[in-house]
Amino acid sequence: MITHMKEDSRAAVEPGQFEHFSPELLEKVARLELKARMVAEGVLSGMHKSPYRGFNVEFLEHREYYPGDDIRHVDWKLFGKRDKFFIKQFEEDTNLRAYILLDSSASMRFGDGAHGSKLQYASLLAASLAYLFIKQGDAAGLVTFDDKVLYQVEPHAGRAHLYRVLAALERNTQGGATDLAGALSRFGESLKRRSFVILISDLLTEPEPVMAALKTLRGRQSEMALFHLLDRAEVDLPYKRASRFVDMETGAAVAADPAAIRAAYRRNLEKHVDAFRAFCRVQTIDFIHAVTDTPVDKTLLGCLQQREQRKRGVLHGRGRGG
Amino acid sequence: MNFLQPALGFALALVAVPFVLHLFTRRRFTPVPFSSILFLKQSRKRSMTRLTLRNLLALLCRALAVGLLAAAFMMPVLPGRNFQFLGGRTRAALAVVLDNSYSMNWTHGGVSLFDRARAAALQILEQAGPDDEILFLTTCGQTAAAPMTAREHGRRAIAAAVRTMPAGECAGDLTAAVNRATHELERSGVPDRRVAALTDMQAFALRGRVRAPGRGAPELLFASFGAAADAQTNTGIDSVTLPVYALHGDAVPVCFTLSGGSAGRKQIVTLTANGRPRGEQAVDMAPGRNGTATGRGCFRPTFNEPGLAAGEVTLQGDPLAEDNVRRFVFRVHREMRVLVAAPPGAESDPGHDAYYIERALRAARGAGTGSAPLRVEPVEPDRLDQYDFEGVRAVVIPSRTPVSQDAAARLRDFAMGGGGALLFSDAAAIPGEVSDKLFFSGGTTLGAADALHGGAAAQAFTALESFDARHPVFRDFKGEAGAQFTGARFVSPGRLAVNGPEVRVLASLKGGAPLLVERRLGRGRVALMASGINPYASDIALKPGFVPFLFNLVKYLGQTGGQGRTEFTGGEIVELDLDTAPGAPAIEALRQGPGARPEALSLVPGSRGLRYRSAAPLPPGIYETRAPGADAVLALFAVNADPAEGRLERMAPARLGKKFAGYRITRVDASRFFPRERVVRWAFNKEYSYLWIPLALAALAFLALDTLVSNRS
Repeated sequence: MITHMKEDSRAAVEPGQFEHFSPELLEKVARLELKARMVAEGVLSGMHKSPYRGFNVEFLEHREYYPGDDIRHVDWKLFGKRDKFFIKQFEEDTNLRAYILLDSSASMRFGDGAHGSKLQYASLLAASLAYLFIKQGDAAGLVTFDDKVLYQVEPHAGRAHLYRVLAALERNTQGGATDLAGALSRFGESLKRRSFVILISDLLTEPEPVMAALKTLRGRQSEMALFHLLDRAEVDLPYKRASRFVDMETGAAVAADPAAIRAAYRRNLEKHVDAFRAFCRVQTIDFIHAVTDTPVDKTLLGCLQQREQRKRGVLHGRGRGG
Repeated sequence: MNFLQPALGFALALVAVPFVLHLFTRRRFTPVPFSSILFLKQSRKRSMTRLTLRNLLALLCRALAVGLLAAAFMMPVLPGRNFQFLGGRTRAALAVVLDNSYSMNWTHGGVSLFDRARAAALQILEQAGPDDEILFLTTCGQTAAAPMTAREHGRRAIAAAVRTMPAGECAGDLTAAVNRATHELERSGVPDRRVAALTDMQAFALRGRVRAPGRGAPELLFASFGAAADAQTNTGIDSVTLPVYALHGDAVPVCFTLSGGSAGRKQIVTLTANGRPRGEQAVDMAPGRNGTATGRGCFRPTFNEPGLAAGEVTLQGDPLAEDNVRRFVFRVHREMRVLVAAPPGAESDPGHDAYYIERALRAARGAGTGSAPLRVEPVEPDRLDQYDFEGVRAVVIPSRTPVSQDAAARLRDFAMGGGGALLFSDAAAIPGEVSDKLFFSGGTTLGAADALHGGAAAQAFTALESFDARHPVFRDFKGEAGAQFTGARFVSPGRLAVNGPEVRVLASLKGGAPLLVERRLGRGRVALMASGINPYASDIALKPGFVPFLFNLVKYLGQTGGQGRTEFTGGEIVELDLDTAPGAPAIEALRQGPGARPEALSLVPGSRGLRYRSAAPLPPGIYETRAPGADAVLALFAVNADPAEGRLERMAPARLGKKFAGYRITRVDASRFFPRERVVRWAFNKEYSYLWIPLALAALAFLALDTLVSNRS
């Protein structure tokens, strides 16, 4: 089922005028907004320590300094060379469209970290991202999926739109089997414009099809970031007794002795993660591997810092991805 | 390998249980929801192999633990004679002491302790090494006195003797048997020496003193049978008392005492006499000392035929039969003949003692004082040495009756043979030396009264002051009845001094001078009163108590002696005194009952034809003695089991250890093991090493390993 929440982004929708929101949903949305705001402000305060800000920090060119320019953008290195003030000009993308793709398959319901399951962690992460985008005037949208798209909220700016995104996140509780590659492919086909695509998933599926889909998506000139979320139990396999592990998506089960397979399991998982990491590096996709016992703001901050570092590499002549 | 408990082999089937459980119950893993089993499946393959191996190992451990435990319960043993560390042994000197005392006849479950012990003895003998020295002896009977050895008699003969040997009827002395065995083994010179005592561990059998252990003292094994037999479960007849003398027509009190068993129970006791039942009583057992119960009762049969009578008091329904029967023998007399030696016409002379003696005795006969037939016969004193004393129980010599030396000697023989003699003497008629030496052997001195033969000396009066009220003669004069007797006056009684401890003073005059004394002489008794009883000498004949006094005294003197001892205890040599001495070198004793063989009793040299002795202890029963080839029964005697053997008290292990301090002792409670005979044999022969302990330990080790493996799963 696809629920499109297409709203005229220019329509002035006052907060509170969501008659289709039940009081309980409204309360949850308000709570989620609060949490997202706290995360985002934490991130922003962290970002203020950096001379860079925002997601979009593409450098464009130098121009001469005119009085009144923001001296934070003075390129002091160039001044040292030329003994003249030049301002860095950045590419401003006031039309940035960000899609947050949230893997809502059954496997994302696993876990009981500080923020609950992986899905709950991912929802907060997505809400925080949406908050950041919208706060800086960008458009943010949401797509939730398992083996099909569950919810799709087209990117819009504005605080009212944020509530729609949050409401969709709150409603997004049920999910079935994973078809990450298929969902990415279908999304990619529906993508009309160059956008910033953020995928939040546990990537617990065969990597090759997903990589192929990501590559296709990246090939549409869209910037991408990939948040790979795992629960601590998935990383460490802390179980003591031999048990029958039941797949939350397929229902298949396997009996295993954790003590006996722990080392091999970790190796295989590490290999899986490394494969995606290497792939993303080649594809210039920001790859953030996070465990759900890490606070969301740190995860987000890590992402932004990584992007900064990558951009710095481009600014200094390491080439642009894409 | 052999098994002590092969019947428990069914337990080996339990080995299948772990396999069945493994096959039919799958291990239920706890289901755990997991996000994706992708990587688990990739990693699992190797772990399942390990898990499977671990499960198999646990299964194997459990099966082995169950199997080893079941095998341990079967008590496997490994035969070995050449390896000491496996239990095998070299040549040994073995002594088997079989307790055949009658307490071993205790029957439980239809089998007596003796039969069980005998089976254990046969096992030991049959499994002994071919070069072992073997000694076999019992605690009583012939084999106690003359043990059997393999060297002298051969193993087969010993085994045959063990198989056919009856249970004993004697009180065994286990300590003596063990002492004998240890002594014989030490003499054998074989280093490995062992004594096996197969017994019911009664303290009475272990009453003797233990021989001090020397160098190379043998190892002692006490195999105890019969846990159930003790004082709380066994009741026996402690004693049967009879009157010494019974007259036909009298109600003869036959009294018995019981001991053992539990208070509150009723025991049935029967009396048989001369082969006929004569009574039955139910006796209530009352609490006694030391926790054992006691009971008592009396039968009062009458016997209308004089002669020898034999009987049995029997306790019914007790597990140990031998102490339930007490046999007795006594003689029933038709009448009691009493001779009164007096000159003709003396019985009509009021001035003569005989006048009062004869009248008192005749009055006593009719006075209902007891036995009726009391025949008083006057006899002239000078005919005493030729008189027929057959059936005479007592002779009365009044004072001033002249008695010749020959007559006095005849009277002495009569008394020695069991008769009674009563002398009234002021030393005038019978010279003091005669009475002293012939009757009292110098135990008294009888002097004439100073004023006896006239003279100017005043007559001396004195009175009877005291008498021994405990004596049977004065039984009827206790308390106020004694007044009937005391105060009797005497004129110049003889001065009687008692010189020996065998003389007993029965009555005294004022001032303490003895008046009436008595002593045992041979099998009979003699009494001497230092005064006559005619009115010139005393007024005692006029006292109301005189008649019963005289009757009691004569009857007392006449009841002792007779045949002599008639009851013997099993295990002792019988020495029989016969008043009708045939003088033959031997007589026969035949036990009443079917199948008995005559036992020879030999004349004891120097006994003047009166005493006969058996060659060996005789088994319990009633015996008739007769001259060889004759029908007439000379005498009867009874042999009873030693009652002490029936007072069952098991010796505690600590006490046993203390008693046999210095010896290496092993104690096996054979009553608890099955098969008990085998256990005794193995404990003694030590021909096997016992494997159940290492098997049980191995089972525990596998169980521990299983726990370890399972917990790691």
